[in-house]
Amino acid sequence: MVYSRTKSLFFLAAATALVTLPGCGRKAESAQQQGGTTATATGKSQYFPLQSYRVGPYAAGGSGFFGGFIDYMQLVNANGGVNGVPLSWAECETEYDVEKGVECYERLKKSADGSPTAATNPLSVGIAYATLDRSTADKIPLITINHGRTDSTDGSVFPYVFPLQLNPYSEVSAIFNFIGTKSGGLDKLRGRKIVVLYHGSPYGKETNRVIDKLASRYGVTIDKIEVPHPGNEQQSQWLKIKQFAPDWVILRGWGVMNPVAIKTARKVGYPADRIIGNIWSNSEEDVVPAGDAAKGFIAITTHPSGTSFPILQQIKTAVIDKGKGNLSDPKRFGTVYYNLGVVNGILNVEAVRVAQAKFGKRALTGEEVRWGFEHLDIDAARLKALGAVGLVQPLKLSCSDHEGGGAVRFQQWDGRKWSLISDWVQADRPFLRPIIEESAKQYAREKNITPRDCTKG
Amino acid sequence: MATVPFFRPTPLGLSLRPAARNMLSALVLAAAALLPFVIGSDYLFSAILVPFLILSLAGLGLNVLTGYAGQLSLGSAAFMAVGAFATYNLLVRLPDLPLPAALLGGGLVSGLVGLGFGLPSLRIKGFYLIASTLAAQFFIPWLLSQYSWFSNGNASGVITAPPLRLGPVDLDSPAGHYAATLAVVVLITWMAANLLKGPTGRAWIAVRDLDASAAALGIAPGRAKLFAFAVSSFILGIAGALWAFTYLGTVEPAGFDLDRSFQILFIIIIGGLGSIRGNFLGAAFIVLLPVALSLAASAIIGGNVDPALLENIQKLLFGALIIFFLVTEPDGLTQLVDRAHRTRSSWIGLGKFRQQER
Repeated sequence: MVYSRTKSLFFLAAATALVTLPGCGRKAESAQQQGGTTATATGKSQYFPLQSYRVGPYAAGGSGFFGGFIDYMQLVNANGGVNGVPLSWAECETEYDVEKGVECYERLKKSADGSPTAATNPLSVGIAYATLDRSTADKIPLITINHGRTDSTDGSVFPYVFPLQLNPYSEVSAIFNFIGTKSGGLDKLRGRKIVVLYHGSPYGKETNRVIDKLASRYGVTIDKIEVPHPGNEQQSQWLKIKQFAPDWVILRGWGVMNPVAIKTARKVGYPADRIIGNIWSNSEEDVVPAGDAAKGFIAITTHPSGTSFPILQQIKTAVIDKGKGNLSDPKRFGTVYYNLGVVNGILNVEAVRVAQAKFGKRALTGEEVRWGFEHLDIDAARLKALGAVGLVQPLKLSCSDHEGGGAVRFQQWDGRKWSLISDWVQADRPFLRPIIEESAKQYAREKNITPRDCTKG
Repeated sequence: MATVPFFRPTPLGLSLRPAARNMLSALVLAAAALLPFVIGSDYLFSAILVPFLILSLAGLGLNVLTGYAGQLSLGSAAFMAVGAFATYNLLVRLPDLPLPAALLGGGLVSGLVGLGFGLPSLRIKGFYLIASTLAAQFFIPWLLSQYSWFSNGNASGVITAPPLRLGPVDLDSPAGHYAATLAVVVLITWMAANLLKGPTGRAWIAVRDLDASAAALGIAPGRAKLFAFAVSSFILGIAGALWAFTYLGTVEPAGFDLDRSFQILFIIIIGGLGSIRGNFLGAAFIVLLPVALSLAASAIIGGNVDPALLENIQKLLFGALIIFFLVTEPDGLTQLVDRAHRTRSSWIGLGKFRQQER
């Protein structure tokens, strides 16, 4: 092959452009669109970097969650912000991929207009693990609502990490308690067989150890079966389950793994009403694709789906009806993922509000917002004022407890919608606490961290 | 063509005199060592430069095996995982061990494992060898996640890097991570370049081109292949340890899956097989281009288009660019640079065009 000079030069120029462009990342970024209101009297807004994901196998979760989160922030802005401080945000696509999540964290952690950063909400255990040290060093709270690293519940070792509402251990413990009630008492669990079908990721494996502890405590025989990411083929796993013939299957799935599990269960003849989905196997997107096979499927939830809550009606009038809603498919308004995004928005904004009461009504630094999270105290009266009774559980956080609630309700899919089948079921938090503390202590040793003294407030 | 009548294609040609070449490398090195600290931001360090350097090193590891010694492998990520977990365990279980020693140890463990998985290469070649390295790719991450001993009992099988210190110097900052990565990458690249220039490298090339004739020249093909596997896995192991320690700060076995092996394979194919510079060019393409596309997309059309659609357009564009480069330059980006260099050098008289020996 013979190349002309012009052609070579063209290639060289193209290659140079390619290499230098990311180097100019900072510049390109300032030109990047920052959502929400940015211009205010003080020139500053409260900024939320959003490591969102809208493509890939987990797109349903990401687009629903971040859709709800953004719509709630739009509602807050429409009502004049948080005590006059508007909210702003910028998005970056992670595809639920750890490296991309880290890139997005670094890209977005500082806002384009100099507004201080409140908190990050990556909605991915893998990304949360990878940005945990960075968040602590940068003094930006890392919020992992309903998921995350369980031992980060111990705020004395993890000051900047908040597994709000429900950490993974509480989740399994509550499921065991529910199965206990169904069997006529926890003492009746002895000799029963339970299979845990889990997603082959840090998220999926997070609970394996505590499941063993709970199993030996109640005398349950456990079989843990892994489904490799993303989980669209489960024939062998379900044949194994069929052979083991468990009383219950706990489905610890995520994304496409869930409908496939339900469909395969039907194929091998395992009843759907004996499968209990965990907190990431509980949405409409998990059951609708499974069609009829999902009828009777049970799942836990921290918040019901539905649009009847006053807060959702407010979002409908102020945001959705004006054509500003973030969901590309408006039918998903009020689904489980969307409502979780709204709940997450409420908790983030409430933390800002709590911190404003102490530090002043202005845009706050991540360090100040962290204080706000740690002093969150949402009681029944506050929930009523927010229009979120039944959507958010009462929550009180402290220096040593970064989780707060630890209660779930159980819902069942009837083929068209979820209906609640239980009241709040509380996790056995006193039993879990020593396990969490031990794990946090080991982390502190590995990382040379001196835990804070939480007795001093 | 008509404009450059003296031009002759020389596949492995050097276009600069050795002195000028050395000066150029020194210049690039000085720029890499100083420039980022002048204009640097956390973003540049920890999201762009560090992964770029580490993947370049991983590319070098695979290139030793595939580009020079001619052994095909799809197990690169597995050897990275071995390096990462070995270094982690050395640091956690022997807290007094200095960081460089732990890195070296991780690399050596990975080299040994690579030697083991290289054994089939004594008997089989080509696609069959791919299948056997694929076994390593599936077996090693499974082993690491199956036994929690490897992750020091972490519940989710995720390891977290202990604080990075070199004597009294604290390296736990984006700039510190970059400095450490750069030092290791430069050192290993320099060592590998010397190895490849010497008798070992020539033996590998001889085996790659035809092992029967290499044997006739007095080279033991089996030993050469095994040594290539060991060196390649050593380099990959170091790259894996850096990936876990200076880049992500945390790592799970699934982070070193088949996708990562393919990524490294694409780096050397796009960058150029049998070339050291090609690894860096290929890694630049794979790491920087998607970031560039995403930044450009959000700067130009962000906000007006559905974010999911925008993301898919970027993927299409990236794929199209890969095909475009492979079609126009099947020998890799390094050939492209060489050619442009040669044309320009003779054009402005910077260097003298040299006829290649081959």
